[in-house]
Amino acid sequence: MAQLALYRAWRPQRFAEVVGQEQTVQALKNAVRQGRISHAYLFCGPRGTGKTSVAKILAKAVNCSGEAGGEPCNQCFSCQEITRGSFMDVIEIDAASNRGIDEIRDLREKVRMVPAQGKTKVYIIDEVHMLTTEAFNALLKTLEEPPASVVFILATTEPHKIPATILSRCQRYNFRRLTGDEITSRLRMVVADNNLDIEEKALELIARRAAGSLRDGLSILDQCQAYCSGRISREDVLNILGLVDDRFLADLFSCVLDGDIGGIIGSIDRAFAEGKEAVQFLRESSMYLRDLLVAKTTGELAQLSLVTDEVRPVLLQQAGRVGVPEVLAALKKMMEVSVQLRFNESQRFVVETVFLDLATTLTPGEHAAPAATQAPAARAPREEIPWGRVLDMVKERKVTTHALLASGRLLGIKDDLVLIGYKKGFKFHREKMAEKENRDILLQVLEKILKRKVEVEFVLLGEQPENDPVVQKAIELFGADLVEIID
Amino acid sequence: MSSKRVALLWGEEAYLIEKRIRDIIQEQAGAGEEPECLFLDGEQLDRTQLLEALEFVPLFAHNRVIVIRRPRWFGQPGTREAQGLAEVQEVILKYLENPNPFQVLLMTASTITPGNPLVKALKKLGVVEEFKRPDTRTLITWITDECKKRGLQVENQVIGWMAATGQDMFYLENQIEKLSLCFYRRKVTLAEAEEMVENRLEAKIFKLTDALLKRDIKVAYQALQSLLIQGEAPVLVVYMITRQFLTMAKVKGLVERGCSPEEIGSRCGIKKDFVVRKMTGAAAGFSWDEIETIFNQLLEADSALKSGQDGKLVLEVLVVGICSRELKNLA
Repeated sequence: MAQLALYRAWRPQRFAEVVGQEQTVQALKNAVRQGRISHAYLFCGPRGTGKTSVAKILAKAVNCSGEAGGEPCNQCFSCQEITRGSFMDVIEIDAASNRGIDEIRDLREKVRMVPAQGKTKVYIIDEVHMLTTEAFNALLKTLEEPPASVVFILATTEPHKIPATILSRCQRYNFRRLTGDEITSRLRMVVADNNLDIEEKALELIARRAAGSLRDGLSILDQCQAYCSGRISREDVLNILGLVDDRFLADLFSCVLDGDIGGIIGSIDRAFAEGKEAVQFLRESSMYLRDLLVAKTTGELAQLSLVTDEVRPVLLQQAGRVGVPEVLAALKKMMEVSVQLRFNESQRFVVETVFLDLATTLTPGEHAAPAATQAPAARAPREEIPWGRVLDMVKERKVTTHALLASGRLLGIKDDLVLIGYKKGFKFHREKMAEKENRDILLQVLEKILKRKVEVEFVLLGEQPENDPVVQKAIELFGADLVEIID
Repeated sequence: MSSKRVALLWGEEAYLIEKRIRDIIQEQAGAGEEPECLFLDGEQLDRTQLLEALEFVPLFAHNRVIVIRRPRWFGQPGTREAQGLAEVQEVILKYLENPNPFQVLLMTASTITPGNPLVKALKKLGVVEEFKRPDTRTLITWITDECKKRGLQVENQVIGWMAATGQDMFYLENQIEKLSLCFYRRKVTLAEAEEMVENRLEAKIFKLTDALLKRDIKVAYQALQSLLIQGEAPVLVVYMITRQFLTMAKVKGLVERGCSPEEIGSRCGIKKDFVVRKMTGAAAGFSWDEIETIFNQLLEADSALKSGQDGKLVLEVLVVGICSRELKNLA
């Protein structure tokens, strides 16, 4: 027999078994006990917080012949049939795939029929926000004249998509996200019951990554159970989920803040060698920067989404070293690149480039603490070119040149050579820009701004490894002799 | 119900309309005999069905009540809203001349066009009753009664707060019922009620936008988290913030031109004096450079959301950006 997934095996069967949502559960139990069942309920909340489970328990309670204190007995015929999913008067509808007016009209027809097996007919409409406008209108008519002995339970993760007319006809209950402690304690119970061997830290990581959804927590635990033969460690969970350790990210961002290019490249290299996905890696890095920003701006209030208590001191120390504008700029850059990454073939280069860029963005200003010991001894001051001004001045001289130049990106200036990069797909722009007329306009502008004559080179990014800014940077820092390009 | 036996019940407060319908049905149940009630969906009713419904003689009841919900006949003639008007006008006008004395015809609508010929005829020969949203004082009395009916004890401020949430009466009734089930046999505090009863979206977003206008990062962050937990759409949040800063920028411009608060109110479409005062106070805290930067950030946030970036992250970045005094450097 196929093994039942943990989240199904541990689906609560009584109100008392529901984790969190105390007030909702209390109100529903009281409603059952006092016979004050509403004809329509709306359960809202993020996924995995118990909406459908509570709906099923309520369906059992209103049909149960042995109900006591508002709880279903789980022994009578109705309770057992509902648990098995074969009770005729509990109808579950997935609104995501039955969203049209025809389905709701059909429901309106059938709703008038009296219950066949139980006392009350219960319609559980999941993901109700997916219904079309016409279907909502048809549903509203049913809710306006609800037949006796019918209860509607609408469940949704997006209540703002539900028309106000429907909202006001339902008794609304908000299902909140579960706390890490609530998830951990339920996971502990599951672990003990299933004789699983798992580190406490691994459990805490699972609970944190479940982001308030017990179902997600149980699914992750299920995956770990399937992959690991012995004791499940925190590292196992990180590997299974492809996550990056917050300690690792803290070290990486320390390198970024120190401007330790070698450390950055080495860390990224290690992450990729361990099989981390570029998309996930950048997502986790964005979350780390987000935690850094939130810790910096809101202090004690900060709800950290990735950083654990262990690494929190490091984060706070880093937060003291950078200014809000720098972290904001870094986070924006990271978010932009995360989107672009999907369309890029050389993902590793992109990740490296963005971290090297961050090393510049997050260079400590007035917030700087004394330089860390591992920081490179000498970091040559970088000459800045006001790129916005260059573009404006080029535009004043010739609009078409400006359009060609704006498609490129200023990579930097080394001695008297200004490097401008063009991404794949902008080969035409690069070639046109390299033509004498356009190049001369740019050179005149650069001369005026930098107050000296410079040379300019237009490179195509991501095509020749030598043209890649990461490689350029490495050559710049370590010298051409030491840099070996391995394709 | 008066001697007139055809009525149009309309208005924005559906709860009061439904209550009136229930009262009329009860009035008709004279001498212990239940009237036959027929509820029709006005949207799909055509001339023939209407005729059939009006001319049908009940076999087992003395009285009859026909309720036609939201027909499309009371809008502006010739528009889609008044679809089918010509067809049914003749039937209803004819019926109005000689209504069945044992039958009550009720029609409901949320809005009507006063110039609609059917509305005019009903005003003359039948009854047209409007059900507006009750004022705060009436609402407070009603909420107090509803709480008493359920044995629900609440702190004094709770009732005033509920009346000010801006929710309709159906919604409030459901919430009162919920509170009475949650807090069985004990007094409900304002904090508990605030947690359980939903304010209208605007009220919740204003908490965020007000904090942004004051650059209060902590309050803004908490307000944003509560909006996100409740599942508000990030695009909508950005829209509301933009609207608030746009108004603030307009107010700032007008203040600098020396306009009076009344003129500012009328030119910016702000009806309440305290909002003008609030905006004027907030405007003083932002330079034009900062306002421009904020609009750029709002534009960036909007485009980021529409390019599939993480909504929570985008909003957090936006909130920090707006509250940060150093944001000029980010432009």
